[in-house]
Amino acid sequence: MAYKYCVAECWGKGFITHDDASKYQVSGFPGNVWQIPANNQDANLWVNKVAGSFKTKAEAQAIVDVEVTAAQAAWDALPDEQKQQPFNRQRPTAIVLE
Amino acid sequence: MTTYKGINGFAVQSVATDPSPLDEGQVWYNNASYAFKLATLTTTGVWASGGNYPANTSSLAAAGIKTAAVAFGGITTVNVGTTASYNGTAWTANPTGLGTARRALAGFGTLTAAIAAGGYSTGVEAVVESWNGSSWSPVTSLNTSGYYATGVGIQTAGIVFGRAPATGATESWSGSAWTTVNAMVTARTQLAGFGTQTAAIACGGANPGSNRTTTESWNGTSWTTVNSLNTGRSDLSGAGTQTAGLAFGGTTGSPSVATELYNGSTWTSNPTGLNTGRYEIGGSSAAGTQALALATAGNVNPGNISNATEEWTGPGVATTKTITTS
Repeated sequence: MAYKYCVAECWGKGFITHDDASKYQVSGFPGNVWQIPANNQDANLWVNKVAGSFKTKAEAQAIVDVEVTAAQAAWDALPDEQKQQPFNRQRPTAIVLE
Repeated sequence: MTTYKGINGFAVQSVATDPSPLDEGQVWYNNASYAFKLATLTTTGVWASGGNYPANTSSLAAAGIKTAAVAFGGITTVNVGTTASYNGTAWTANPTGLGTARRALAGFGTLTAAIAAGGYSTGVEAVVESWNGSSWSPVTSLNTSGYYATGVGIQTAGIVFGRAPATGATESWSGSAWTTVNAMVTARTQLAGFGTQTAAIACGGANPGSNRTTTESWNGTSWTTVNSLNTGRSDLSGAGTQTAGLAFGGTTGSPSVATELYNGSTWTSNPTGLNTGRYEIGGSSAAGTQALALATAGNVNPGNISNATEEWTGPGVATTKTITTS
């Protein structure tokens, strides 16, 4: 499936409504990046509703990468004993947008 | 020829905004978007955005349903005792929080009567606190300290099971005392649960390091292994009853959107999942209904803690579809 991307800040209730979610899948990623199906009129209208800013896939990936890289650097800086704790056991993983 | 007017007694209405509430089968013309529209019932459940939690928080607990819930504890940059209530639209932080700020605690009950058990503060906790809708009071501690357990039930009748390090330990709460009862077959931590003190489900979790699909059913006396989750994961949340449950989120190594429904026998993957994959969510309705689950905050990825809330609505809800020629 082909996707489009936008950046929008989730304000809470009403950002993605039941009606929205019933019509198409909106998937969130770090950096307020949202993925919607391409060629879907309702999804395009949702981007307008949330005052989203369309991004190319490369632009969206770059935003996500910045967030993940910062999280990985924070994890790498943890003392080894903290990395063994269940809360910190996972190094943040790279996210590759489809 | 059968006509819409002939069936309904009135013609298709021309309106500038879609009507609300909707009736199944209702047809109208939206003269702003130049489209004929139809109200149908959804066939699958979906997650929609709820009000944002007061702070980006992970590893918190919650109790209640999506229109009346309370969430507590967790970690922001430090362990917190923050307690906030949800009315179906917005979260309101309570003036006072848990007596012992901690994360990875078990929670169960309702908006006005909940239990917070165990967790991790500066060390592993056995502390238990009781919520009366406005404040927390210490009550009898767990027999064995633990964190990353899960709990189900109500303030006067619940059970807590699993915990870190991975164990099958199960304790039953009478409203005043904890009794150690039969352990789960499979020791694990960071699992999900739902149901009641006498009819519960335990699913997923870690043991150790491996994310499990294992599901067990509790009959009030002992655990029995039943059909497994489709997606093995830990740090997931659960909601519903032993015969109509929901498991959502978690981590498979990366944050999961997976949402699975349990019918008392088998798990079915919902076609769509959480809008944002995350784990260590504050999941409510562990003792409520499958249709009224709430997913609050959690880890989007390690280091990216969220304040987003998502509300689950099961199938059978009216929704709008645009009528096209295709």
